[in-house]
Amino acid sequence: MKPIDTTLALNANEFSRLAQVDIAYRVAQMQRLAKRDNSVSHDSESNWQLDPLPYIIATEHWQDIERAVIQRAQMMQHVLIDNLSGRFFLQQGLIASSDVLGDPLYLQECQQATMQQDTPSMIAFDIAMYVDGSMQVTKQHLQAPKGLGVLLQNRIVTRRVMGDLFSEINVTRVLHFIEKLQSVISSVHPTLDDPRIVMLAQPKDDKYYSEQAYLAMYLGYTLVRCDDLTVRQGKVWIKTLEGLQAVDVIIRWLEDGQLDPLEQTQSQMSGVAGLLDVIRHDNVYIINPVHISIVNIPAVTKQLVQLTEAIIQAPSLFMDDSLTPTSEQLSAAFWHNGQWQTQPVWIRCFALMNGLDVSVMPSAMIWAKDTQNDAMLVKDAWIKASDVDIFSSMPLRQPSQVQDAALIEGVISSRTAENLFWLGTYIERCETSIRLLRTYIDKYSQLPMYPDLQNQTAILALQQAIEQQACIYPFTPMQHIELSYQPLLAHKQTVIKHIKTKEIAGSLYAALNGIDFAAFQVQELLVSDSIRTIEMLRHDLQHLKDVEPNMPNHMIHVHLDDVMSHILMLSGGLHDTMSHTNGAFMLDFGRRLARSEQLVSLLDSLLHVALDDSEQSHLLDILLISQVSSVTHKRRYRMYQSVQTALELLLLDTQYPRSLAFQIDKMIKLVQVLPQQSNSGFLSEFDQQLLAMRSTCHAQDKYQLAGIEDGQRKHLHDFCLTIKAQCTALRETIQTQYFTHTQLAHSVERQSYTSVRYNHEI
Amino acid sequence: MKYSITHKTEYTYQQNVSLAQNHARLTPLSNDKQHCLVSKLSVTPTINYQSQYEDSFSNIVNVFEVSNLHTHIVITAYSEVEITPRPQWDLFANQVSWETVRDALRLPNNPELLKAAIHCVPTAYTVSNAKILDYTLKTFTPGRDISDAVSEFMTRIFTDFAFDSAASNVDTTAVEVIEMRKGVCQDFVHLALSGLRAIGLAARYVSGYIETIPPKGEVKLIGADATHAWFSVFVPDLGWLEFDPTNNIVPHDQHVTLACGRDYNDVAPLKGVIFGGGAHQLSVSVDMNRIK
Repeated sequence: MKPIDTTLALNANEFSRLAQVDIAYRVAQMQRLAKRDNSVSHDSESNWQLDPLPYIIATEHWQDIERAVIQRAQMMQHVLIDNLSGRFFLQQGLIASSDVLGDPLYLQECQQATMQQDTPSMIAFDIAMYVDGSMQVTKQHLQAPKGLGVLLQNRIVTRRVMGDLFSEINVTRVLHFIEKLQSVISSVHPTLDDPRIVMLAQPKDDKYYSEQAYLAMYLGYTLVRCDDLTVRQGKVWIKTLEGLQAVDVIIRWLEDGQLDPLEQTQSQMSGVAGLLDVIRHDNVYIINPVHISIVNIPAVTKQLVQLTEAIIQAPSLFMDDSLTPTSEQLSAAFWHNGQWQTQPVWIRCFALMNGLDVSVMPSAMIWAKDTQNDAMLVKDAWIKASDVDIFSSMPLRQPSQVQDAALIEGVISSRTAENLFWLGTYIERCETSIRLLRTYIDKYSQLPMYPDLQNQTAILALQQAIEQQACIYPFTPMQHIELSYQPLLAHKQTVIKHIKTKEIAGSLYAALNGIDFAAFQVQELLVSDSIRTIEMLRHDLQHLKDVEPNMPNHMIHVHLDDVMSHILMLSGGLHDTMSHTNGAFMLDFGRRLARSEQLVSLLDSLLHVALDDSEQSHLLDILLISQVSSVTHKRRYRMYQSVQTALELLLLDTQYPRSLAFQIDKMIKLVQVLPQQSNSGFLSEFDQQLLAMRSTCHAQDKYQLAGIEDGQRKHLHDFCLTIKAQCTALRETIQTQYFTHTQLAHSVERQSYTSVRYNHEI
Repeated sequence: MKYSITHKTEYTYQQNVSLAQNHARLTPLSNDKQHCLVSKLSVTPTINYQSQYEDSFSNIVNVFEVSNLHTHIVITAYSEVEITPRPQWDLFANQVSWETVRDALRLPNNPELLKAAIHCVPTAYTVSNAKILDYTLKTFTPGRDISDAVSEFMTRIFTDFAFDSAASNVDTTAVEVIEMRKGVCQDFVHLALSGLRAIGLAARYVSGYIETIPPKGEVKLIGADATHAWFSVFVPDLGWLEFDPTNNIVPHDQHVTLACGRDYNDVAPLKGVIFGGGAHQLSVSVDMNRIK
């Protein structure tokens, strides 16, 4: 009996034992677990679909596969060594030089940066297996093999759902391999015992980001993107809240040609400028080593079988790629729409290559193409252990435990901090927008019942402030123009416009989009409940498109209520579950700052121009309702409600949680958590700015603020302008000192240039 | 012959630049034809970090970083170079057919040939087409001596193509040049490289300076010199033979080599990445004078 026949028999046996009901139950369980763990189904873009039934591989069959993978990896290593030490394979004509040198994967600029030949590599092969036992490598994944994170996620899910079967089959554990991987990565740096290791993800919109985030959490490394890293003084640094911190090892998910926009003109949108030169000087170590992709050049790949026989002097265990297989490709049954479908499968094996020492991960991903849905159907491969595995009682480690380990290091990348800051800002913008719009809807809906002129004037003043975006972001300076009668439909159109127009920076749509984007960037820090709430907000975002002028006002209100309840859920969830150690203070700081800006802008836009008492009273009512302060104001001031009392409550009361003074005090406390960047004994620029803001606030007299000169509250206006400017300065400082680490707040715009072309004739 | 060269590059930005990272290939090469005696690079504002490396074509690359806010940067490279004229034509005593060279490069069985073989591969600027191939094969007739053929090829480019600095830009490719029949030195070199590579020869882009002599009675203007480009062709045992198609001359003692590569991208005197800056203005001036 051939080893592959044992595998086939094992799977047929397990398959026959399963009842349909059992399968359906498992599918439901897996979907639930996958969602809870932000697992495969969360990342719809990468479109891996986990099948409920694992694929079991017999011990002796796996040993065949393992031997072949080791042989292929060792041959690849010979090619890499040859590339660095004379390229005799090319000189001897074993590989056609013109095909190599002319291939797009051959990168001349990387030849100088590939001297770290001892650097380990994590590679993967897609293998087609045939029923006669032969195997062919159909694809080599050498630069940043995808699927390892998915495999680990799948293993956790399938093991939970099928724990009994898992023990009964005595599946080989992967823990050993993972530990070896971590140990090899840690020992890459020749001198440091505890190097700083980061995992460099692709630029934003990368469809594999979820997998990378999972893997980073699982292995305990900080996940960074290109913009998180900078090259200064010949070294690579990560931008963190603590300032720039040296990076020693980079596990890269970028392709060879995308590493450095300074030397690689084709990688304009990705990479870290200057990275290749740092690698060249051995000031950072890259896993997988640069230019490993040369082994993927077709001229090299097609010679690997012949080279194996020539160099290793043993028959290749993989069939030549160019040969047509003589027997049928191995198939497996996948559960699809309530029934089984048999599909030809490939096995993706992962291996750690450390010089000529190769370790193969004792698990694999069995996959098939789902051409109808443009997806990859995947199964967890269970390798039957040859004897009792000493690790069988050890559970597979949960990523959340390692996540904390990564944070003990104290590294909160500036990008993470910045995204948390913006998440807080957008949550606040969203909340205040909804409160304003709901108040506005309520008021104009009641106009037919209370058509008095004073009420109309107050509503028109609010409409003017919203239309000019003076009370919503970007808080444009208000141009007070004469108010004129507006039909009800015009009010509704104002609301709809500010709910769903993408182009309006302060619209609800823009704020929700901002939440979605910022939350995605920090998803590794969020608990599953928060992620589910964000999913709900994503649905809300879609539903906002349905808001049309023919929709009744109360229905628009319902939509806004839904969004508001999800925002409050998210806000409360984040508050309860995020610890300060992973940057929750940044989220809170973003909120407080946004609330301060919002509050002064609203007061300025609605109270700057004085109205008569009755009109003023209506407008004050609108203002207090939109600030959820109406009840407090009534209770506290009863008979004596006025502009002074409103200003006292909303600006100056340090005990009132919605007041400006309260926000400032909170921000002062939050700043204490930020790493200080000034010499002890002196206040930082940040402290100075907040102190100035506090002084500005507390130096005010409510009567003076409410005082009217020439029909305007000039003191209030000046005060609001000052606070707004101070808020802007705070934003600028936090950007430069903690996020960009440059002297410019907005330095994200990157450009490349080369000097003038040649132009000479004598 | 000794020369002093001052190459000044100025960038003026519309907005502040917070970080500028640069690679300068402004140090003349030292080889069997020239020796770089002095090479200095000065930058205003002050450089925060500087290092150097030799790229895979043996060019000297100065790496520098400016992390102070600036809207204006001046990069001045000063060098002194001694030219050792090599009687290139005397090397052609032995006739070597171009096909012999082509065949040797197809199977590069020694390190020197392998190193040259990378220059047989077309690049983005030097992709060929049937028209370029036809144009080249008119000169490269079967069995013809390579030096003789390349020399005629250079003369044909000089004759058939008009010098017109308005006709092309920094991104113009060889395929565009063959259509336009005009361009500048960079374009003529890319065209030559495209043709030579299309028939399997190794040819490389050479960047540098050329001495200009003002008309009799006139004073040479400061900054009137410029960077220049020409090409070289590899012949086993003889090395790289240089040709200047813009001027139809074989470089002798008036050409100073800065860098060599596959095309302009490999040898650009200054490459950089800046953060911020907005739009920019560039000005370049070169002074090349004999040292007595």
